[in-house]
Amino acid sequence: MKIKVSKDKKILAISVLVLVFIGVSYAMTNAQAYMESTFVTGSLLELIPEECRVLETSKGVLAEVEFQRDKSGKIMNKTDINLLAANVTAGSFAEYRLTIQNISELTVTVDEWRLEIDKENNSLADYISFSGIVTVKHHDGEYTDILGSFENVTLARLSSALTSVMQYRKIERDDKIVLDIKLQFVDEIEPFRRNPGLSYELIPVFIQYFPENNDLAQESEKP
Amino acid sequence: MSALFWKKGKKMRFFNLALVLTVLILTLGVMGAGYAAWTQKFTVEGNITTGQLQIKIKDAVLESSAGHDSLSFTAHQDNGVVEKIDMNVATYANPYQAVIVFTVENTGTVPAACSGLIKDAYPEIKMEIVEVPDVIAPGTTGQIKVKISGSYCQNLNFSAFLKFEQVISGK
Repeated sequence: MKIKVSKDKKILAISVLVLVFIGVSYAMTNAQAYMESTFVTGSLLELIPEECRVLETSKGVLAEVEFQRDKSGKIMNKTDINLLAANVTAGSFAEYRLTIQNISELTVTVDEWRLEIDKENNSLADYISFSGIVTVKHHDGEYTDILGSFENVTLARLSSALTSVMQYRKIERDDKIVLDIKLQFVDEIEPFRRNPGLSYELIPVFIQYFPENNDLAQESEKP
Repeated sequence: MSALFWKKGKKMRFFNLALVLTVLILTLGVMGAGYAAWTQKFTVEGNITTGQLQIKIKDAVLESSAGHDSLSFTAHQDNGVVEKIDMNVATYANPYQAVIVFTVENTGTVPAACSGLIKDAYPEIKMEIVEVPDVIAPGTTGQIKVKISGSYCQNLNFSAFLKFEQVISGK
């Protein structure tokens, strides 16, 4: 009888382990599928292509904002944008405007901005600085809040500058985040023997906004 | 009878365990979905390329010369670009001089200007730029006049470089 119980326990333990593995793999698959679904990627925040543009450039610079499009020219993904600047020289600049709208029911905030620089194409990284201003437009532009600004920040410090301006700030339903960002090259650049260039990715991570204890206390005090 | 209850209890335990595991699986799934739903990333990609400064000497002609008995001038071209100039001067006068006109083309993408001339350190030969355009726009050509004057010398080979820089305007 004892031997039977021991066998049952073993079978039970193995079954539990198998089921736990199935559960974990199901959870991971579910999360991944959910992450990639159009519902999620297309429903929280989106870039507004009509309001993303080049504001100003110095003479000779060919600047452009570019979205991924399919063969028919339709924008495939409104969460990716490419800021192009070609033919830049010493002293030149390019200024862009990006507009992101919260089209979800959730109030969101920026958790952080991440920066990834292409190690194969970074020879201009030390010759460029960024200035910018971040505003939030409420009720279709009826009210505007300036979240903050930064000036002459190096590429290495750009993500932390953007994070400090936008972190913990509430972005409510239909609010538009307007980011005006200016790239400025230094006046003197050492001549390059090979193809100079720079390629980088800025990745803002939006999360659902959870009010802090103070906010909750203030709300509960309201009549 | 007791065996029947034991069997029933065993079934119940198994049912409870299955229920707990199912709830656990669903909870993990919902947690995954919930986390994914509340997080969204954007990618702002930046790509920057520079302009190119590239000047080609398309032609070189002798415009004028003086103070010599004989002078021959040949511009050697390779694929439409002047690679070398041979100038043979026979003279008893001191000094002699010649003016060479270089036709240069801006094949780069940025406006350029000739900012000077660098020559090997031969004091017998003097070179100076006498006429130069302020700016040579990309895709256009310009003419640069260079005056050469020399005193007595024999079998002298020297090199000279026209120096070009980017013209920064409209900042």
